[in-house]
Amino acid sequence: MAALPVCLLATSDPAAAELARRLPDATLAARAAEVEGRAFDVAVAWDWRATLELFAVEARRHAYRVDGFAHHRMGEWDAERIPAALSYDLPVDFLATGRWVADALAELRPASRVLLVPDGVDPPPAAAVAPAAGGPVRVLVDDRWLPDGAPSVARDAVGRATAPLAADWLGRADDTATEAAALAQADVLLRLDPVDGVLGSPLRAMRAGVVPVVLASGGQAELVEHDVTGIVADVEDPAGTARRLDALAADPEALARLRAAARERAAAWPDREAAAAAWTAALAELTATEPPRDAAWPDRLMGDALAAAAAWHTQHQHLTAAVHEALAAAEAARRTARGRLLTRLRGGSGQ
Amino acid sequence: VTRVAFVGRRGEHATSALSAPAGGLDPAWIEYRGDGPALLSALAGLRPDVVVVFAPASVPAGLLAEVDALTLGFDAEPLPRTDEARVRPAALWELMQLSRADAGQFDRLVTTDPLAAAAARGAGVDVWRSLPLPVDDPWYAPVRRGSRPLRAAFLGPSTPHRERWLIPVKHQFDVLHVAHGLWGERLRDRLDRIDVALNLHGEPYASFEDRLLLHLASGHLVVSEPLAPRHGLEPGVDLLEVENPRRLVLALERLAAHPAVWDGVRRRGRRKAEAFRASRVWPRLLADLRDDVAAFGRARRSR
Repeated sequence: MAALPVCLLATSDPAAAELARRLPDATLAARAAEVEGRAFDVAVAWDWRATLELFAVEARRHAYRVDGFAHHRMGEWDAERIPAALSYDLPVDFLATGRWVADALAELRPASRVLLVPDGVDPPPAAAVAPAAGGPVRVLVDDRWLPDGAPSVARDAVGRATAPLAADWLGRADDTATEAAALAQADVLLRLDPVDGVLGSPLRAMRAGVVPVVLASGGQAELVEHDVTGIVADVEDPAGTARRLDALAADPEALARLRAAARERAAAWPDREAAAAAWTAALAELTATEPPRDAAWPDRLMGDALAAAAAWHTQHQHLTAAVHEALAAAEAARRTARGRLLTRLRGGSGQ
Repeated sequence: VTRVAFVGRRGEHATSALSAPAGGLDPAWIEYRGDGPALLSALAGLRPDVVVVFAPASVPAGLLAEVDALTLGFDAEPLPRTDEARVRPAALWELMQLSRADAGQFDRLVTTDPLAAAAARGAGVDVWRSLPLPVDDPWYAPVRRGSRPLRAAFLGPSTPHRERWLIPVKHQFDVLHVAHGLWGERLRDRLDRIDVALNLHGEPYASFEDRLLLHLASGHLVVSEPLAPRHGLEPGVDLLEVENPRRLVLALERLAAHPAVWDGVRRRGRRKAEAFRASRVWPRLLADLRDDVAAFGRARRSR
């Protein structure tokens, strides 16, 4: 297959750099200005922020890599949720990293082209580490997706388990190398993310022979089969999840079976070479034909803008009302205190 | 194949059961309206491997004690919650009923509210899992497009709290309010005729109504009072949350003017409902029940 000049617009994701190294004629740029004056067959925005400059890159095709829907992770009060939501309405071709993303995009933008380009994973370690006989089940908690200060159902579940567990936690600053080291010492990965992420650390965990415990959210259906290649837990049910951990601790054979099946399932997932090949094929397909005519019109854009603005406006009103309530309460307290003081000064009890 | 008997009132629970074989389960429905001997007779005829009882508090204590099958109680009634400063009398009454009914006849109990589960445990009712009532597969429908004029409805009995929300809406829009129980074809017909569903709590306390997931599965845009728990649903993504009756009116005004607005929310909500599809949930839950009983025994059933 002939090399296609492609520009990957990405900021700091090491996966983008890794892919750029494997594609035959790829240029990685953080800003459109870095590739000014050059022409590409395809320019690809790696995430929603990169779409800001996507059309400033001269290219025959403009595409958008989507591994999830960024605005689903943002609070309603977050104004950035609006541009993030609108990025999926742009007149682009889509490169989806998971089947669930591709299906959702195809439904939202039926006129647009959506191609599947799975993120590749590194080769598995030589052998999965077996738990020490009679030792506690080693649970690794991945809460890196959780907003700051939000309560952790996973931590709650680990705390409620009655079986002895050896728990470890991934921190927000931990990179993939730290994660890999932690996975090498784990039997179970707990990632209870209600939005997506199953094709991230749970996939890497399975590759290392670690049992993923996930929710029935984006990517689960294509990777984790309950009680076969992992555990599907219920949302906001720490007691139920704890019970599953207890059951795994009570049944080393079941744990070993799940670990082996998880590893086997992940082994069938494309590695980085296969992923690069899928990218090359997808890019060739995009350039071989013109995009569908109807895909050129951002027909959802204004409706989604209106919806996002309405949601944000509602939150703004809610916050304003809360502030006014707090100010009124403070004022009432101040008046009460002042009244008591005056009463006391006039010789009353003030009680 | 595991034979499962779902026991409950058709009008309240049938949309949450499994009506066709799936995932190794062979389901059957038993209508139960308080006639214990009739229930035992029906179970004797079916000889199920598992009995799932909706509204377990409605079953007299000990009735199922001798049934030769795994028994699962699935309680969706409002129970006292750990996040409430003051216990609601009605919730306390429900907990007492559940406590009595659970005297040795359910291998495991499931509640729909994890916050209630914690409080129930405090009262000695051992709750195994918490999850919302699933939605039976035939109720899943394609996403319904917004229409003009607005086709909105609220399905549920009238309460003072609900009327406080509904009256301003009814003054301005032709909102259908179905206060009495609908089920079967009549319910389906009603669901087919609307594209916006209102979800309002019975009392001024945050909760999670059973009907909400049925609406999402039906492809409706759901506009709801704030939920607790949310069961993974995200406001502004899977459904709309409105904090007061005025904002409900504003949301409907916007929908009446621009029916396609929040189309993305409709679609995402319908997709999210897939996680609660009966043919996905019941095989998983009942396999877990079997494994859990195998691992920890049936001794836990007696409190």
